[in-house]
Amino acid sequence: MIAWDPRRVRQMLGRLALLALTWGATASAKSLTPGEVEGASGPRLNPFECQGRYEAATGNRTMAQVRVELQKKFDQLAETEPASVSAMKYCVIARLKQRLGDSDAGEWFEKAIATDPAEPGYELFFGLYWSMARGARAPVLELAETHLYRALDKLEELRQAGLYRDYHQTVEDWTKKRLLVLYQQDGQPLLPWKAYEQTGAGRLAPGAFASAQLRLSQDTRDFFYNSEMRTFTGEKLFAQSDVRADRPLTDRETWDLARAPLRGQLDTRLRLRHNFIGAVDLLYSAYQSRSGQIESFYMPTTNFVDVNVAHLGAGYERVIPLYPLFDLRLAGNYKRIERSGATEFLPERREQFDSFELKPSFSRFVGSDKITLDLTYVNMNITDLPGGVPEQALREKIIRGGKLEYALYSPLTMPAFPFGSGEPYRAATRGWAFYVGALQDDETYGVRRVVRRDLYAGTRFDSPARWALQLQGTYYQSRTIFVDPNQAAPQERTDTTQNFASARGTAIYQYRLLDPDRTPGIGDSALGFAPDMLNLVIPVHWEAAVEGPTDYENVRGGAELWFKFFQQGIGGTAFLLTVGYDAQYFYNLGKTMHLFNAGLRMGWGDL
Amino acid sequence: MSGRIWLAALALVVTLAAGCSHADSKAPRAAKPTLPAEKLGPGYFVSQPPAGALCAIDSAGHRVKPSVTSDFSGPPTSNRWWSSLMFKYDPKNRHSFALHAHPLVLRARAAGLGVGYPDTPTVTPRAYMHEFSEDLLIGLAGLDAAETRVASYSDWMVTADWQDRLRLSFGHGLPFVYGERRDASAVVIRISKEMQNNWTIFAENKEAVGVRVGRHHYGLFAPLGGRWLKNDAELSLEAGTSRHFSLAVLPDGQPETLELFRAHAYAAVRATRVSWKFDEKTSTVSSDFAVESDFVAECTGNACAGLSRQPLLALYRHQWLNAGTQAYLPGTYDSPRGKMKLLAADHFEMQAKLTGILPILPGVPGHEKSRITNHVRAVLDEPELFPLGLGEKPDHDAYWEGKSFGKLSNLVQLTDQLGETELRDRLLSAIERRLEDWFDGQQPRLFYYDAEWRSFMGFPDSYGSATQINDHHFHYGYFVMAAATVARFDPAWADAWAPFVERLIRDAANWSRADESAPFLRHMDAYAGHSWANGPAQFEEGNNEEASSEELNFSSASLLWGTLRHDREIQALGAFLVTQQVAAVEQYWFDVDNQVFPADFEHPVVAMVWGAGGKYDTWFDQDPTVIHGINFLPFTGASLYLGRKPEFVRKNFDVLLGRSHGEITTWRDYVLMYLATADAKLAREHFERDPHFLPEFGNSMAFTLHWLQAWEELGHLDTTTTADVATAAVFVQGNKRSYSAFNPDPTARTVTFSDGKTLRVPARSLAWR
Repeated sequence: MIAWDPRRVRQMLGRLALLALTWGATASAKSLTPGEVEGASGPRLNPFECQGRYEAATGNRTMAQVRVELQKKFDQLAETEPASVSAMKYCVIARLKQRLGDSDAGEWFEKAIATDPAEPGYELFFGLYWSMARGARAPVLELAETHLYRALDKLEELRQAGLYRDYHQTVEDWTKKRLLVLYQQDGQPLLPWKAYEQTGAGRLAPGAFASAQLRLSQDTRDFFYNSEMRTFTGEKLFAQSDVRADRPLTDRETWDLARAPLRGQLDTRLRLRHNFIGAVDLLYSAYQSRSGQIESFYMPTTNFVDVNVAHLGAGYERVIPLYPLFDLRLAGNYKRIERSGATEFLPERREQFDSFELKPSFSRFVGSDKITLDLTYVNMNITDLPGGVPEQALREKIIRGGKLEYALYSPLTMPAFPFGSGEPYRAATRGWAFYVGALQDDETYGVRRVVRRDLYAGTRFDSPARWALQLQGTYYQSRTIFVDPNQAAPQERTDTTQNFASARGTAIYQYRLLDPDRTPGIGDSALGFAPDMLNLVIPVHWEAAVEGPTDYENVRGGAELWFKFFQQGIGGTAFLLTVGYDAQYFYNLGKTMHLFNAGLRMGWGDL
Repeated sequence: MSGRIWLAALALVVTLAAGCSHADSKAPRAAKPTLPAEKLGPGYFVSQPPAGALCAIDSAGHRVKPSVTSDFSGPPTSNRWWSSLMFKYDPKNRHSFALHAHPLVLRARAAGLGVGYPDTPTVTPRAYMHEFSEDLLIGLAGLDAAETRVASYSDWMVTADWQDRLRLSFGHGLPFVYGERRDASAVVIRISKEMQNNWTIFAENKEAVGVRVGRHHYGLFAPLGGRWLKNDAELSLEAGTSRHFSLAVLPDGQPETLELFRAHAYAAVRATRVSWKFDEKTSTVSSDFAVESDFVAECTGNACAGLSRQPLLALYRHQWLNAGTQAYLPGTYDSPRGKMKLLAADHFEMQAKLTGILPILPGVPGHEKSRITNHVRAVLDEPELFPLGLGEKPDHDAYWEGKSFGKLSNLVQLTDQLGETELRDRLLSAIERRLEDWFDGQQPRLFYYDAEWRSFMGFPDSYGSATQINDHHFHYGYFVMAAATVARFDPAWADAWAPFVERLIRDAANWSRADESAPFLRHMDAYAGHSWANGPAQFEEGNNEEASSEELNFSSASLLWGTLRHDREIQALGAFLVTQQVAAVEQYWFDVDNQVFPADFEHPVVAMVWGAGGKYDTWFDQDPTVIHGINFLPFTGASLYLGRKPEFVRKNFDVLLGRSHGEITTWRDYVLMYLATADAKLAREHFERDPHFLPEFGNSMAFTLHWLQAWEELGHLDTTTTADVATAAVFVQGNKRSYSAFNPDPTARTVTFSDGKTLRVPARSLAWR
């Protein structure tokens, strides 16, 4: 709870002013003076000593103990020591404050930089702070790149002055790797300034990036990971309803509805980025599902038609630090969508409509932990149905969602089992997140409105070792609401024949065969490709009916490989190649399905 | 076909399993190294450094040759308080840094030897330093030497040479600088520029002149018949063909003091020599400090009447506290080590009782065996028993490998005590294989002998162990302790590898003057009572020594090795080193009597002793726990000396706890182990508040827990009761005494304690009652 006392308001305004200054500073690429390039007074210190001291002060400690370590670091500040020593101490304090989630960590990074302005390592660490600790679902990219490019500037100045030391090569490797990772969400650089290997000139230069992802699958599930049980059950109940077949489906029809069409989707994006503006996107996507859509619910399994969707749009994204309140991610887009195959009876009909999407995220540290709220609002103004009375032609889809996540980053005490021992030990985690969320999808078909609600809760544990485990429970509910036109005063009623609900339990085990955290720089490359990550992912789920038909209850399990690599030769974009196989067993139908998926992404989203 | 597939699969599994296993699966190697090498026992050391290795270099990266005169004889040395004379680390300084001899401090320059007596420390927040400030200079008319070289040295003194024209001898505890003019040039004593308005001649008596420079008083002593002529700010010696003269710092400006010093001025000390004896029956170490002197007065008639043939010596605090009754002369000196007392003698003896040396603390009823054993298993489960070290360039270097040896050695002793022989043998095997790996002359881990500097260097090196010959006693202490541990359980291995292990001991602390493969006591400054870490002593503050506890680890490891090997020479060496160092550490690192540190120095301990003073700081961190703890680690069964003064332990802990904001978060294991030697109950309470911490690199949770639980039962160390074996300790808990002894013999024996109690101890075992 934030108390709005005047002191706090002044503090906030002060920090906002600092933020404004920081942004302003991005416009002025000041070179070091000849005196400054010589470095601060005192011994030249390897800036990775800051990292080492930070690790020594945090390793295997509780957060309360890290707070004690921080207090001791304050005790060690002395006015009489050389500036280079003071800068190192400021950097360690900044890193500890970053770990503790203190909102003034940035001020200590600034102090370190100001005290030893020639040292690029402190710019790197400040850049890492903005790119790895701060932000909401995405790094504070503009501030991160500002400091990373300054690091490159300073490295170059040291090189020119003959003061480039062995450890500066490591600073340079880390900086370029971080810039590479920072822009991996953007894609393949089309302009040279922000492309690998970057130089300081990239800071204020515009960036243009192309990214794409191609996904192929033969799967019961769509690319949005919707519940296939809900899809099939909804189709079955609608087909059986009095507005369609008005009869129970045969066992054969029920069996046939469980299908795995071949799907393919290509997403492309042209992103323009500038430090002052943020990211502006031009979007184009094409999707096709072969024989995936029921042509007529009167005879639901007689014919399945292709669905084709394409959209063209524009989007914007930027993360804005608003501490001491929160970091805000602004993200939204507008799309013009054209699709065919989605209209019952009229598979050739082409629809064109607009879609607006807003996805803000809010995030802030709570001590060393982080809380994030994601909101989603999508409005798809789908083309009305042709013919009939206007009330029955109305088509619209509105999605509203929210997810609250609390991520623990404190070390935890866990039982150890060497040789059957239960001796507890404390270990750092990469994070243990707990989340709850709700999503409501209202899709209007004339006077009928299908309301789908998802309620979910889950946890994801990233172990200090190479594995991670995610567990999630989801409750899916589907209701169809209609307006009875026969009533004098039209009332909304629920079509109880269409009510159903299900629950899904999901477990996803992930093992890092190739761990990116163990390679701080760019790894060894062959033919310009540098492997970065190889994960084995084993997803398992079980889905059962809570209300309504149980036909499509199922268990599913499989294995996927996720392989990420960098291509430095063409500017350093990141690629993610995924392949997976699942077996799904609808045990009430006695039907087993073998499902495949593959994907190739080039710098798309959160790789 | 399918059979082949299964065979291939089996081969793959076996290969993978071999690759995943610990280093203890590595077989011993005996192949001749690829580098030129010499055989030593079953192993090899190389006589050419590995490619890219730099040994004994200056700050510009160039090889340094010992700076000695053409008539210098004996092995060059390093790590002395005066080493900047011989090891010219700064290529621009061809003379020396400040030489903190005590009570004098000196500095060689082109024109001669600067002399000062910094009796008042400068106190800063983290240090107190008796900084060198030149009062006067001893030189020759027209002397401008390109370099000052070492003409000779002995255990705590050195003779410096300027172009074979002037030789000056000085040393620890010597109030005099003894001079020899080697050509016809006039000896000149020049008052320093800063003091030229603040000096006077306060007394004259025949050949002696008393000079006050600022607050300090010096005596200048001409050869009999000679005299000092004053000329502005200079005094020149008129002495005909006589060559010998001296200068002394006086405790005060009384004419009778000048006369006293005049009486001893012609007993010119030429060499200093320490010797020791260890009487195991009474656990008594006798250390004798002797000087050889020449009577340099040319006596005609009764000119020598009243002159003494005994030199004057100034004893450090740890010496006069343990030297028994002596006829100290009036007057004392102020030094960074407290008051120095003046004695007219050609030798004195210190006596000390050796107590509190065990391979491990005894097993006590309160031990949680399964909990401790689980923690041992956790160590064996770690991916590497010898992991990469810490710091800027983590490596498997001699220091960090040493710390792993230390950790595993304790666990060998512990698992044996727990009856976990399978675990013990796995650990023992891992230590043996790793030592053999170091001793085989094969890269990446090997030893190289630098014949010019007579130094045995481990590679990979670290912290200047090769470039500056630093820290060998720290590094090798761990190796020797590991070898001593092996010697207890696998005597055949120790028989085979003894030449190599003893070469390591010899490198850091050669006990034999006849063996010139290494200098006598390289690190140990016998007179100061402790070692010096830095090879070239390249600092104005002199040389320095940080981790006194790692120094004692070397000493007690040597003692244990000698005891287990029944090598009385090495055992006596260890006993000498341990007793001297314990006496020095208590005074100069811990100031247990509050008599050494300046009154306005706000710390109960220093982490580093320097020639000029002490620092509440380390080379690598300013965390208070690191500053205090660097003089605790590593803990072994021979670390019991830390608990000799329980009241001081509690005081030290309380200060540390306060400076740690009420919670020990760094090196928590070591701090609580230290506290346990005085208040085990409190240590255990602290421990159980958070038992999930990670022990320091060289320690294990198993050993920590064992230590804390043992002291809860044992109480604290009894320093008054000794035994007739070197490896024994007595503990007091309230009114109850308990007795523990380790029998190094291959047969059972009865150990008798000085209070008459006896303890039957099986062969090569530890017993406790």
